[in-house]
Amino acid sequence: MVVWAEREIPNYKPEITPTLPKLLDAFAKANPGITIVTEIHPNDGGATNAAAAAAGKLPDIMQQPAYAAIVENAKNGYILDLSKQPIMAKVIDGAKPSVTYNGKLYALPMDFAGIGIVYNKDIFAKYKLVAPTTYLELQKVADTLKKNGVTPFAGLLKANWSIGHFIEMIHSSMLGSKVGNAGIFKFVAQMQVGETSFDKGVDMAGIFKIMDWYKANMADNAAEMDWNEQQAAYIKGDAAMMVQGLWALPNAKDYPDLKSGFVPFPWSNKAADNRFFADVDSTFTVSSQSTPEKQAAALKFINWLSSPEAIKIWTSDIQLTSTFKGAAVTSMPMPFQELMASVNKKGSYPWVFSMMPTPTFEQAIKNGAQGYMFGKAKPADIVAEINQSWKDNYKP
Amino acid sequence: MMVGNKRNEKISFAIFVLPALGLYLFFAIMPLFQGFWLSTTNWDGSAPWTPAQMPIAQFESDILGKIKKQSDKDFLLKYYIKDEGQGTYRKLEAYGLTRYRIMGIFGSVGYVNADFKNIGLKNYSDIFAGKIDRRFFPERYREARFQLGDPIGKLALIPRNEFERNILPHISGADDLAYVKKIFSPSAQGYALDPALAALSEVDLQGAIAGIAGLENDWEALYNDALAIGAAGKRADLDARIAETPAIASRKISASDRDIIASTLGKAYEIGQVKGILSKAWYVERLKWGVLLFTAIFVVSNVALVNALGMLLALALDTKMKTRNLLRSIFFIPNVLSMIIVAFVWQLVFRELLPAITPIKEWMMDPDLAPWLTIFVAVWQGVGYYTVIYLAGLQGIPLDILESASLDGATGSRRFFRIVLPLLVPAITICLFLSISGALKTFDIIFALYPSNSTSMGIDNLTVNIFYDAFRDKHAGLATAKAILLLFAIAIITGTQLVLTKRKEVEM
Repeated sequence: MVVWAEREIPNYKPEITPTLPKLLDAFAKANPGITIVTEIHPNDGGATNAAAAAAGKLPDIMQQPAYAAIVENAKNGYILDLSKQPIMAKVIDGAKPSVTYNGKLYALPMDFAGIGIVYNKDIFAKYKLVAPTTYLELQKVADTLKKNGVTPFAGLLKANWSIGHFIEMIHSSMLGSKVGNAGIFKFVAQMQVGETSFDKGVDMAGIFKIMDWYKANMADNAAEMDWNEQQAAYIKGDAAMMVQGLWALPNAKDYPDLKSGFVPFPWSNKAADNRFFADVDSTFTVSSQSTPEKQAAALKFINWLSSPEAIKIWTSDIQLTSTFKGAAVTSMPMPFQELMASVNKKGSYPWVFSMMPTPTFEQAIKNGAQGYMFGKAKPADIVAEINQSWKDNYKP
Repeated sequence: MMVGNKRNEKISFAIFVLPALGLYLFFAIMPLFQGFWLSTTNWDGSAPWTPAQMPIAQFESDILGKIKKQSDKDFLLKYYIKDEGQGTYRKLEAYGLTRYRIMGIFGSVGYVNADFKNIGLKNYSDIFAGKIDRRFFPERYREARFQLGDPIGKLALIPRNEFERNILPHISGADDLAYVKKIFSPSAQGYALDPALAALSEVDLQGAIAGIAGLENDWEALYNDALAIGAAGKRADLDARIAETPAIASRKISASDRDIIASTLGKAYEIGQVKGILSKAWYVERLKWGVLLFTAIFVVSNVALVNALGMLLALALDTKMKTRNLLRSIFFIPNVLSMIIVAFVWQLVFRELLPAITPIKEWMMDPDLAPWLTIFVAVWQGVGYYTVIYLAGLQGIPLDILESASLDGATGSRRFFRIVLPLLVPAITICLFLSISGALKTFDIIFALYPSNSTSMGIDNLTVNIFYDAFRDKHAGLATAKAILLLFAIAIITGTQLVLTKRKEVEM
């Protein structure tokens, strides 16, 4: 009998706290003797993991963001190479670069997530608005909403991560529209060795102008708004849109009457430039510090995740897309279908924030962008700090 | 009898003192040395001290092959297992003293991890040379009050003080100054922007030219250039820019549309001109306190307030009023509460209650208010504790001394400063010591009140900064060096305070 309850699955996605246990319970039911306990570490999951790893007390399975977090853990030897696991053959090829280090796959990519504008379809219909496809259309939508007493965007400025996503979304989109996604990966490689600058090839002043406009279209108390306040403003209809990933989509089972749509944030007036900022988000990794028995149980869980039962819970209950071949999104709420349809048709821009060294995103990007919104950080200083931090913290 | 006493002393030394000393060495002195050792490394806080995994061939030749003692080899193989599937030896969970023995064995065979190596006193020299995050030190900066992306409507009415103090003195060119004075008119409410300008909608202007046939690919660049030319104040350049636009130059666009374009871009030019001047001129010179200055201000304010208020409350409660016990409990309750609860309660007050009953709509996230709110909550929570100590000090003053003083005619402030205060110095000594060391070590209140945004708000004190350095920014070595320096700072400051206040204590 395998006892597997000493540690937990640290989970950095607090929005799936209520639904994740269903997945674990289903696995435990199918595998008597194996028990999984979860623990949530929203936002500081990386720090918790680092401390646990250094102390030699990693949990057996971890949920971690793709790219840099995987590379850093793989380089330190804290997670297992999963390349030979049977489940890897079922993962779509496009998801694999996000978990690759030195040619090996160190994590199981689980969901493909997009950041864009989540909007309330009923409010749009009430004012005869259509989903914007250009920046000018977006500005017109916002003006109409304001004239009718509706706040255009439910803000979230109290915490720094959402505005960190925002500046990265605009930056990567501007860059990608000019140099393509291959150019973005080249940019990342050059930033690591200080061969380019964050503001090279993009209209940095234009990015900050969009941020100014974004703030001007939130409620006056947006600086006081965190996750709960943003959710409440959107659900109550005080605000018609929120710039978020679909993790912020109110659960369809809790709010069956709330009809939401999802479109790329149209930062450009050329509609073709406006694509979703989308990439692999969460992954599962297996600790290298576990005993062989626990490791076997952990790998059993990893390989079980592509079973029809697991995929159904993942997409229907946890409400995240799946990266397994053939996993359909047709049973998912409409915004997920809109995301995948748009990505399949127009492509997407990759998540550069996941590829940069984690301290660069945590400190230079998130705090820089939030500081700018509070009038405390100058654009030139933010760019200089990003350049320096990226170069200093990249460890090949 | 003497022999018995000595034997008792020895027994009590062996039973009580020795274990305490051992525990003190283990839990206080050893971590201090370990901290100093870590502060001399480049550790990022997550790199393993010894490899978490190593390829099988490399482990067997470079590590096992070089270990001389069989017992060391056997010990190592208890924690490193051969994993054929991974092609590595991987380390199982190992902590406590085991980690040090494993590290010693790796050290004995010359293994060095580039991400965890000795760098001498570089972390300390970086701190003293200022080669660390600029947020650590005070810094002057210009807080922008108007950004290029803000709507022009934000300029419709600017309060008089704001306009005269933070805009007019910052406009350098005479032409710009004359222009601003022309478009802004003083009124009782403030300075009002020319209504025709304030009513301009950039969305409408862009919409007016975006739909013109033949201009689909050019309108946005034209519009943005008109803004930029306006910001530069070169009107003639705008006409040239319009004239050289291929679609317009080639006369593919009708005359009426060309008029619309000229008129629209003329208005965009004006918006650009106003925004260009105001975005440069409307700012406030500020001082970012940085970690060091904020810590100093937090400590001084906190210590001064908790002691002054604590003493005042103690004096007020040192009476025969019927409710004194109830009041003592009320003042002490905040100290019993967990700081997380305290932070939660005050977040609600600052976010929900105060904006509803005061004209100020933003409390917590106003960077000017944030430092004082944290100080206020810290004082609110801490004052009851010091009140109790001062109360005990007051009640320890013999009544006969106070009665003699009264008979001698010493009353009111004279009695307080001449009799009570000197006799309270022992309480002041302990309260100052506790409040100074407590304020320097404060962590939870800032972390709980401002989770994930204290850095942007400029209210990271030393301990919060150390935490973020170690766990968010992955500079564990540097963070430990700061922690060691903080330890010495606390020892020096409280040591000096103890010496100074002890001298003032009165023997009774």
